[in-house]
Amino acid sequence: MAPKYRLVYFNVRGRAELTRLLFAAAGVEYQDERFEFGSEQWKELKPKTPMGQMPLLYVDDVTLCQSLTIARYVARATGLAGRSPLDEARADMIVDGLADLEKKLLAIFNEKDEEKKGELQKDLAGSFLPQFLGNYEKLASAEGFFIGDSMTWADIAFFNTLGWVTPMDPAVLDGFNNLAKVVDNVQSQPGVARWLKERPLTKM
Amino acid sequence: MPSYKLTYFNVRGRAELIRLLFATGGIPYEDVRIGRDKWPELKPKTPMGQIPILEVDGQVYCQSMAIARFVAREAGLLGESSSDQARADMLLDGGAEVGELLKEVVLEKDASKRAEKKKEFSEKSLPHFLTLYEGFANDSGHFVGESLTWADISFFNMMDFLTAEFPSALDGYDKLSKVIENVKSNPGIAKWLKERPVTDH
Repeated sequence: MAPKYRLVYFNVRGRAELTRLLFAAAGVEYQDERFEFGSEQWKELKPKTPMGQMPLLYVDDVTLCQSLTIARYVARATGLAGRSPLDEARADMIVDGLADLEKKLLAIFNEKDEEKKGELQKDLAGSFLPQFLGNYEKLASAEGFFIGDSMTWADIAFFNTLGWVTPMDPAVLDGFNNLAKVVDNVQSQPGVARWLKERPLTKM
Repeated sequence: MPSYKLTYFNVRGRAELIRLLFATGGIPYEDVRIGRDKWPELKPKTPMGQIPILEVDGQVYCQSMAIARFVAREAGLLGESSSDQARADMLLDGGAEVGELLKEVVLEKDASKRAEKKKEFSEKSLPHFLTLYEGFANDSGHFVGESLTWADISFFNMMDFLTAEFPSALDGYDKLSKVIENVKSNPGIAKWLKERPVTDH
């Protein structure tokens, strides 16, 4: 019998969106439970969770926290993790590397001082991103895949993280043809395309 | 058998978990340690300008946790079922968060700020973490099922760093102490602990 998945998070993309994209790409049904910030429901649930954090994934009698653990679990369950141990290692490497970019994005998002924020954005666009995307361009194939010749969660994770950069810098992938192809492959995958049309529009 | 070559600085740092896993699995590998002066030359040849890297028959992999997970799988230490494996991942991720907080303490240059951060860590973050993880460990001293997994070894590695700053951190945490004991008495690990280069971090 198919497992029943319940994903619990705030009503934002944030740290749950990768998992939502994986479910969408795989065409796997799940309950997409969302709390508003400061809700009573989260206050009540928090002490009953493994580490007092969200997102959470409930699968049959298993409760998981830690967003990447959840995403990896779903990727493995839906055949998106990679087809061999070395492929899985390569996918893990691509996904883990994205955390460096996400840390910078989070720092920008959290910076209240407009001047400092501008400085951080400048550093991101002028120095960090060209280097980062240069590295990732070499890791992606001309067909637009990070691993082998088919889509894995590494491609979807890259697409997801880029989604936080492109509002600041729509032309960020100019000159990075392989990466542009990765993004194109992911957003035109039928399950993902449908989710992108249907998903709640949230600020982050 | 594939050839494994691990490259990192001559410290434990982000490579030690990988070395411990190779040791547990009895898997031979080349443990390359480079001087900081050699790093600028190597950096552009790495996938993301970082080490550790693991070369497997010439293919290069980076990101310490990705490498560690691969070696854990090769050594049979990942966890048996997919939910066991996820449990191990989850506990490792939670441990990494505390590891980052510890790093902030250790890397603080300003002496009075450091003392402040150290106090807050030892009074809040550390007990919170240890109490939580004491609850995750079972009576036989394992985090996942009834046998050694990389979750136990990773916890041991983290405590190795942590007890340098907080020597009596595990006093009173019986199950966590048992986890440490189980890891240290694994033959492969015991041998590595005796033989490994002694470095300050």
